[in-house]
Amino acid sequence: MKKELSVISVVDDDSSVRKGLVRLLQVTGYTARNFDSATSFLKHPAADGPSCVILDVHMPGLTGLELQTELTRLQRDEQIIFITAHPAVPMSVQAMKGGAVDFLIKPFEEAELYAAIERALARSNEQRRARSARTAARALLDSLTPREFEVLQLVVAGLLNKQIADELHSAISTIKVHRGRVMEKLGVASVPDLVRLVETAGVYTPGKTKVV
Amino acid sequence: MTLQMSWVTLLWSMNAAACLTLAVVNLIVWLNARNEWGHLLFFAAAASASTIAILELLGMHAGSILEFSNLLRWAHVPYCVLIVSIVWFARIFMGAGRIWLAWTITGLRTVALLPNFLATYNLNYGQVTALKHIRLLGEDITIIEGKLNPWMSLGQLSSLLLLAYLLDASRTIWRRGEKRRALFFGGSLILFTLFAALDVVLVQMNVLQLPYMVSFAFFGIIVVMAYELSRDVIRASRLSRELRATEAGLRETQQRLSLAADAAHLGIWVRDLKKDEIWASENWRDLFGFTHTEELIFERILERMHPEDRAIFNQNFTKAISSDGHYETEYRLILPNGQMRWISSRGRVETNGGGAPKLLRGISVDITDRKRAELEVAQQRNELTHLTRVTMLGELSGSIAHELNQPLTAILCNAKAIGHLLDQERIDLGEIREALKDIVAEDKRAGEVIHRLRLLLTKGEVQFQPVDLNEIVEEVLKLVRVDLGRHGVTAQTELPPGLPKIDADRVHLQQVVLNLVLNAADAMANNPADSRALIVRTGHLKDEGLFLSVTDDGIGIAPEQLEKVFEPFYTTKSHGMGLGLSVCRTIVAAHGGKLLATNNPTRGATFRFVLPFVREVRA
Repeated sequence: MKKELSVISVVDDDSSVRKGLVRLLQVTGYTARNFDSATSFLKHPAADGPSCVILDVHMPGLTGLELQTELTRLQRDEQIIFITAHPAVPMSVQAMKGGAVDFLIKPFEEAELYAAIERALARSNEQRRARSARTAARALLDSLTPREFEVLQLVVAGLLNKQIADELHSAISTIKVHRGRVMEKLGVASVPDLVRLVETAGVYTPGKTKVV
Repeated sequence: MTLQMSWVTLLWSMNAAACLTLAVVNLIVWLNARNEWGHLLFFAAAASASTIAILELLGMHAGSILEFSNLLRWAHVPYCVLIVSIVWFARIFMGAGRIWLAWTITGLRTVALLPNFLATYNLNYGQVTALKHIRLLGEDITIIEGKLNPWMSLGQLSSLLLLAYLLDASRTIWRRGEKRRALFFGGSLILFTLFAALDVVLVQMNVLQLPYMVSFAFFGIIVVMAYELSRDVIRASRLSRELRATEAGLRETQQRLSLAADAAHLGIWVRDLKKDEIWASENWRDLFGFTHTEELIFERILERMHPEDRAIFNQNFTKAISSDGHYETEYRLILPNGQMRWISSRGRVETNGGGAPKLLRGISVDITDRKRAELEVAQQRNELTHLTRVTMLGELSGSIAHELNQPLTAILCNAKAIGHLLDQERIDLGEIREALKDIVAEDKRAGEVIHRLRLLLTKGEVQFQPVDLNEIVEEVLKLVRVDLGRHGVTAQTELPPGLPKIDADRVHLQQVVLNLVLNAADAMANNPADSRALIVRTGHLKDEGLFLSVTDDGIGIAPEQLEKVFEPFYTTKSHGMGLGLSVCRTIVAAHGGKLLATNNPTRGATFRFVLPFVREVRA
């Protein structure tokens, strides 16, 4: 992964820790930003690229754990690495359950930190990619007419043309035309490809057809 | 003369004898008390009266005009002495009469002696014409007839002045409240003087065919004077009796006192500053290691005192002189055998009229055992204080780890960054320098944390030093910040700047504040997250001292528990020994204050104490 393209945000109320950490990250080639509180981090626009947050658990105002909840709610891509100088088991459990990449105890090993960062960035990157694919797939699905969408749903559900025609009270030939147009519009050559696309768009849930 | 009983001789002789007796008695009294001038004057008066009586008696039996005349001439000498004595008796003994009148009478009477002795016959008669025989009380006696001497008016003038003088003197005595005395002394003297003067005039003018009987008037005067004097003697004797009784009582008291002093091992001492002498009881000498005969010198006593205590001793002594004169002090003695002894000494400074110290007296007592016990208690208290402090810090271990880990993290990051910077092709020295500067700063920060902790963990002697109360509060809050944060508690402060420093033990005060803050945080554990604020306040109470209070917003304390919370082993928590508040109260008490708990009008409780500027406690 390209370090230059990724952004690491350090959120810690202790200025000296913040400063030291940012210096280390910058020296090792990362793009690092620092924030003295969770609130000021939230006010800043999200990074364009793989990114992670190194977050102190104890902070006045919004705590690290509360920021984690908030980021999840906002569906942000930043992956979180918690750091603390005062570890407590329940807190670390909550953090990991909330989807944190790691929970580091100050003072932490450099290698440990980098490993966590790499993992976080990779995850962030993956998440970004998944999201852009989903956005693309949805854009394609958006081009279908309602009738074509109905046909798509039934094709993905595994019905044969005949069955689809029965279901939609339509002629087989008409269904074939719709089906061909769907495949053409979505740019797929086979049914499995079609299924994968729908999955990527996240609009398909087996047993229940619904547009998210 | 016949051997037949002569009344005239008898009366006049008895008169003379009585006067003489009184005269001699008073002479003896005066010889024994030379400043009692009343007795000397009385002696003179009585002796004169006696002489006059004898001269009168001799006159009555005179054989010739010349003899009679001479007797009369000489009678003026005792007469003069008598009058002068009466005048000065009134003046000196009775404290009444005008001084100028007294001198005038004295002068006139003395001057009158001149014509008396220069005249052919005497002051009374210019010329004596006949010697007459009359019968008195069945006896033949002699009287004379003649022409009056014009100089006699001098004598009469002096008699008149004497009357005036006595009247005036009586008035003075009356006015100063001694009415009985004025009436008796003044009245009698006036009466008898009048009688004497009339007698002389009437006899001289031959109105009365009688001999001179002035001596009886004078006898009356002598008796009155004797009575006045004897009253004095009676009073003196009563006083002396009372004095003897008092002395006996005093001796008894003294004996009881010394018995009590001995029983209590009290050493009694008196220091005369004027004579620079020191007296001390045997007990005192034993206490201070002096023999019973050794001479006591202040410098040598001071030498026995522990060098560290001498200054305080002198300070207390000086303070006593400038204030109410009482002093109380405790000091150590180093006895000649090297043994140490604690002495408590209290005493009083007596001053002369001008306020300069004159005499010191007091008692000293051996308090070594008490001091030893006190020191042991103090030591145990110190250990307990330390123990509770360490326990409390144990509870804060997470917080402490945080305080240390933060700077360590910053140091590590910076050090690693420097490593990477050095690996680069173009070495950024500026950045390295910055990083190093940060490392140094963080190292200092960690060092301070450790220093603070070490102070709190060390078991040191109690040390009173001027401290800044606000600084103490801030240091404690730094230490517990994270711990409070973990419990969602925020600490607010109201610390007015510019508080005066106060004598206190820094570590112990920090312990108290720490304990109160942690208690406040605990009390709010079940509060909703947004209402967990505690407030630490300090302030200056005019003249009295500084106060500190910690207010929480918690569950408060049941009214009947407000005092109980300070009892040892009382606890509402699942952790801790229940000694914290008890130790806090002891610490505050050692600073001369009292730690009290009250419930707030709305919610929660407040713990508050005042540190007085003037500490009145015994360690």
